[in-house]
Amino acid sequence: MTQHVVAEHFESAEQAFEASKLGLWLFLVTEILLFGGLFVLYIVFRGLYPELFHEASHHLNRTLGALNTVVLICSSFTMALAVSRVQHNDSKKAAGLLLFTFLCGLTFMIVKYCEYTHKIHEGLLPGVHFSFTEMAHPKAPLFFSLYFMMTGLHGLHVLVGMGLIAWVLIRTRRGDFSSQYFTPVELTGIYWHLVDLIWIYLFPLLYLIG
Amino acid sequence: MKKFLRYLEGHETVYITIWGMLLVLTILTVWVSYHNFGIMNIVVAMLVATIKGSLVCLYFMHLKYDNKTNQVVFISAFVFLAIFVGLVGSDVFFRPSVRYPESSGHLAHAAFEDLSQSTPELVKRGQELFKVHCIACHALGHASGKFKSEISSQKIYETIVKGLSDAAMPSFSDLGEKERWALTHYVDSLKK
Repeated sequence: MTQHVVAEHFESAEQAFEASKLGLWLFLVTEILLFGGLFVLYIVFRGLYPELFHEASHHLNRTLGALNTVVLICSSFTMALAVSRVQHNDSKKAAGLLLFTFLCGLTFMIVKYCEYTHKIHEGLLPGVHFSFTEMAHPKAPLFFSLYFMMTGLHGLHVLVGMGLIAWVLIRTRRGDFSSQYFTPVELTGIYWHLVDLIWIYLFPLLYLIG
Repeated sequence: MKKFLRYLEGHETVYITIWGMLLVLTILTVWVSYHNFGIMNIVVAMLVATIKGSLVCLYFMHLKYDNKTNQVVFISAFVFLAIFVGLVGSDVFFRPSVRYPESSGHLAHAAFEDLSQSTPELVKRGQELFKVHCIACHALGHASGKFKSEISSQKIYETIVKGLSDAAMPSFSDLGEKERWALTHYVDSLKK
């Protein structure tokens, strides 16, 4: 087991931990405002074309959307448990939980891949690729552009989160973390929960309310 | 290190409770979506999402046990988001000229006015709009942006709506109907 050394500009391990965490929360604020831009677009277009959103949301697969919601909630749960286990010096269980969380992320991406292939096959990609004929509304591509942008940006965050979890998993296995030092696990956890939080809003907005 | 462990004791059972509540709320929101409550659909869906989101923030992200600074920082994100939504929304939904008559019916009264008839007000409005939307390409007297004198006002209107692919003129269909007619009458008045 390697002993973590507190950087010399910090007074204590606790101060170092709090500083890192404040940094992450600030970063999460920018993340919310990044997605906020897309949510504002959604609100504006939904307000202008309510009947388009109503019709288009029926062309998304609710079952797959709900499945992904459950997968992400479970992964958030195991992530929270993993952080707790590390803090209780139980790296072995923590590694198992992190692996499960990673696999949940992978499941989410596989389901997303299936959804995307189906949508692309139907000709729902925006721009010149749009060749979907089941919807008569002249602004039909608008909804699907938003769908691809919002879920695409979210999917990118899932991939980044998976990368972080894999990194933390390797370090947990190596025995880097203990009740004295677990900053990366805690911060990865908070980031992963944000990814879940955003999906909690995306799911009803895109799939459910028509 | 005592402070670290302060918010850890006994929390794994809390996590299980939260996890269960999140799953129940997910089932609830899907179930609700199969029933039509009109305008309440979006209210219920957003309410459930907000409860779920709060549970995630407070317990999984430990925000409930975190220090005040972090709580204020994170909540500030939503304050800024509200300002963002509020200002954009009030601009888009309450400014008459950007309303979209074909979808919303906000300009239903426009149907009673015959916009295809030129009036001095419309020409004046068209002149103002021309300075904003058209002058960049149609600088008056510039050869490339000259209007053909034999063109009918109906044709001008269609061109504004559809654009010209061979002359690189974009469509101005996102202008309101009244605005498009105002531009038509102004351009029409130029060629006389």
